[in-house]
Amino acid sequence: MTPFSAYARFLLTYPGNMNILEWNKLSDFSDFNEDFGNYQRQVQNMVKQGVVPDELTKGFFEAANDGRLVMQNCNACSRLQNPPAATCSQCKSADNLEWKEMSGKGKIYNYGVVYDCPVKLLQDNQPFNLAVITLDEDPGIQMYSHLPGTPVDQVPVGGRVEVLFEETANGQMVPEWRVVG
Amino acid sequence: MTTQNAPASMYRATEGLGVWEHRGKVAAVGVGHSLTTRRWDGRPETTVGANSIFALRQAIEDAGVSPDQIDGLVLDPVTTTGAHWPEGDPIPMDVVNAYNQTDDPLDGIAKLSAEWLLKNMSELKNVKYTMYGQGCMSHAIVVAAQAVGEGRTHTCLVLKGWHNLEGRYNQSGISASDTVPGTFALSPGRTLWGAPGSYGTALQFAEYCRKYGKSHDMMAPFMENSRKNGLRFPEGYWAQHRPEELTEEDYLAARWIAKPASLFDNDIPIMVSGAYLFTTAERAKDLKQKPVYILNHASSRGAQRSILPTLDEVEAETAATGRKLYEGAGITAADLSFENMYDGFSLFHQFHLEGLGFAGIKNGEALDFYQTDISIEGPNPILPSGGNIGSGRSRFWMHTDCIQQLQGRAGARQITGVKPEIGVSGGPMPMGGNFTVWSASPD
Ligand SMILES: [Zn+2]
Repeated sequence: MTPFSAYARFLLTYPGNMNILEWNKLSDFSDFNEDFGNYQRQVQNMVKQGVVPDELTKGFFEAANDGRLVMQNCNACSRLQNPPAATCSQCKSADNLEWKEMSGKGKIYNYGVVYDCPVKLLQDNQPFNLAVITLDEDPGIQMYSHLPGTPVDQVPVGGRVEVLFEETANGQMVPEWRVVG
Repeated sequence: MTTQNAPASMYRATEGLGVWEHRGKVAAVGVGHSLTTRRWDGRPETTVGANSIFALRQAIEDAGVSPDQIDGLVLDPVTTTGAHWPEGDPIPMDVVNAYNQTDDPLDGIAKLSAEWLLKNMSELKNVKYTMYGQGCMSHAIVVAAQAVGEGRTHTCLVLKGWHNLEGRYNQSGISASDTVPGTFALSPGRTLWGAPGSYGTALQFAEYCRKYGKSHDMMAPFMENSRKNGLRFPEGYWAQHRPEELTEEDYLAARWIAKPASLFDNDIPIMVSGAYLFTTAERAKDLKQKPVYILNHASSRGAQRSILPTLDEVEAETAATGRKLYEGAGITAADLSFENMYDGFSLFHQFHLEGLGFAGIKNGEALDFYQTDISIEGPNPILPSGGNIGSGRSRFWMHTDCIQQLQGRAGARQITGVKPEIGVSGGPMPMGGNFTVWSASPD
């Protein structure tokens, strides 16, 4: 059971006739509070650098603003690729690439915990999870994720995730992933 | 005319090429190093250009050739450790004016061209062949070996220099910016998600530990051994500036950078230049030092399917590198007396070892192997150079050590548990690098 679901159960027993903060104090959730702190930090404060889409990535980021996850697909090879490139990594042709919509479902392939991040904007959030997700459509295709909501270093490798979209510093939306089930 | 990058045809990057056509016909005969420093102190006499001139002159003197006999120069023109000259910062003209300059004022300070070196080493009157092996010393060595083998140059200097400026590694530029271009945001590197340099290797190591039931603390004997050997390397950073042993306790207490990679799993960026002198086996016979013969060189050019190489992809690539090295050198793993594969990050050294099948180890066995005697006194010396974990990030200690071990002049590092006959060095990455097989004998 994750600390977050423990907290959810605790909240469900809230009688409704007292101050929620007082109610909170009735129980010792010190462990949980630490994790909840991490959770809040990640969800509320972890704002990524803004993104300025360019020619190659315009389709990807426009879809993200519409709440859709798309991947580059070569029609000739029926093969997905990420990161996007000017040509298909298999047939080397630029003529058959299109953006294909994904289900937004995947798995956690692997993860590390970042304690010393080169990106200034993320340094206040250290340490944070940095996982690699694989897509259900093709487990060879990977994406990064900070796994918002997952306590630091408590990452269920192999666990199922689904996509969500998160606003970056300049308002551009980017895909992120949360643990489900 | 400006110097070009070596064409892909100079690298032996595929299997099935057979024995190297110049096997045993190219020899290393001279070694030179500058002093090491953590960063540039702003003086003209400590630039990457100055350090490189010093190292080149040492290599020439060490080999006992006269400078006018040198007809080739192969180097890596990119000298950054990750630090770049800050945009808009004034260029120190006193430093620029201390040398004969090319048309780029940062040449010799934050990069290094063959032209700059030739303008500032008037004794090199007869250099006709210049070429870049861009990446690190491992590239330059391969290009120089091939060039000497093909007769493009007869007596060739090989150089790698590094500059390191103030400021934290990779933290300036785009890392400090409020926005990034879309292509960068989705690239496999540090991107929007903020992966540190060691992150990719840390993840491969994590997968390795899960698959084979190993753990990070099993790295401790390797780390201790590397620092111990590094402290016996008078040319190295730790020996010169911080002669401290690294204990298991120190290692296990180190702060994380990208867990499971800790501070010590990263090699420390430094300034240093290193140089070698290569010539034909024929000419090498009557020079000052015992020649060390190159039996083969091979390159890996692995490409991952998506963002990060998986353990399967890494293991396939390092195994292919091992096969290429043995095929071209006409040897087997059992012929290796010691190994000096790259280690900066420490957490991928086991991939190199297992790919080579060094000392008979197979995939998943290297961390257990680290618990046995891997010292210079033992039967299977691992990184007698101390590598870059033991001496700072030059990415050439491994090559220097191979040459010196086989010449019998590695000093306090000289391996004693086994007769040094054939060694292997190279790097940097398991998925992409250049590797050389060195031998005390041309046969
Ligand atoms: Zn295709």
